[in-house]
Amino acid sequence: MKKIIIFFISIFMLQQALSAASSLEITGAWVREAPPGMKMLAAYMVLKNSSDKDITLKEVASPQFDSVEMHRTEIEDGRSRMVKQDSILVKAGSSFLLSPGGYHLMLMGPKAELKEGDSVEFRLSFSDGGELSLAAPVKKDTGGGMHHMEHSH
Amino acid sequence: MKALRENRIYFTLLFFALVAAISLWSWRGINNPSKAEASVPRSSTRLFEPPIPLNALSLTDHNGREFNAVRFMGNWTFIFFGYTNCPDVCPVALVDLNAVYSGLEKGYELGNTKVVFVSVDPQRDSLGHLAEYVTYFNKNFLGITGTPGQIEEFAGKFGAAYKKVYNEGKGEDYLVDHTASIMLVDHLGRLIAVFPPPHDANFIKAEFIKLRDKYGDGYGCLVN
Repeated sequence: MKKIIIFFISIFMLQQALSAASSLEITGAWVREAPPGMKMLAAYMVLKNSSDKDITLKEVASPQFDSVEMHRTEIEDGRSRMVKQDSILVKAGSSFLLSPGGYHLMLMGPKAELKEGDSVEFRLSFSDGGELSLAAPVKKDTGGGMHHMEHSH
Repeated sequence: MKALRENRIYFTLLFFALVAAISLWSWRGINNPSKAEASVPRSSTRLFEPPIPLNALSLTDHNGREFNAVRFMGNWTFIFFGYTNCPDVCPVALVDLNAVYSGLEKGYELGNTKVVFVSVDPQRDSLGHLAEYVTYFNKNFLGITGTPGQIEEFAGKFGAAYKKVYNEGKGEDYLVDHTASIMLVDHLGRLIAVFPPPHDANFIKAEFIKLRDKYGDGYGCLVN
């Protein structure tokens, strides 16, 4: 009897240990190329949480910008409003989409002009103390179904 | 007897594990935002029948020329209100408008279709900056702006609204909440349709061609 209980407890613990190791994955990150002289840019990506614990994105920074904020474009009665988000919750086992016309990173005060082909370094900090660094390419948005769609490249 | 009891406990545990696994699996499905994303409403149109005349307007285009109601005559004009420091909504709409515009037939619809971006942020958007901004999306797009009073009057005719919002702790930096609909003005200078966001370029193009067929393409009217 004891053996069986120990067996289940150990399986449970193993599962916990495995899920903590494969926490968050970022795919399809890109920065929208902006017309010359623009002081505000936007970045988009997919945050995939394959663990069984919710993960909260607390802060994003980039050495190439004065500051980075998490924002959501809200549309109400045809009017758009940018709403600053203090954090973004990526639920256990789900993906969170930052895409044009929805959630995005607002990049303020570029230190140098960015063109298609350049890349932007980001550092993402999570509530559990974890951090992730990534480089996102600067791309021209050519439309044609890029909006409201998951990127997988 | 002891073995039987152990077996029963084993099966009970197995049963609960199975229930837990199934509920976790279905819960994950419900909470997946990419599935919710698929239900984003498609584009829609608000049509004005009869269209609403827009008269006595005065703004300045990015070449320094006056932009008044006469500029609409003989053209079909898409209008979008925004500001150049807008990082998400405005570029998304201008990319969509570029897709609509680029999909039009050369020598026919394209001949008298215009795309006009109205800056509601004259404090930061100089004519030179506006020119650089709109022509980035398409060299034929036109930026227009004016004094705060002129913009208010112009926007009022379209039922468009905008408001400065100061970003906490960012000093003088501000964002602007604004109407994000794409508006369409016919060849007689009347507001004929409003396309609220989110936009679908193919849908807008199809609606546009239908409206041109219904109301006349406008060729033969005063063109400037």
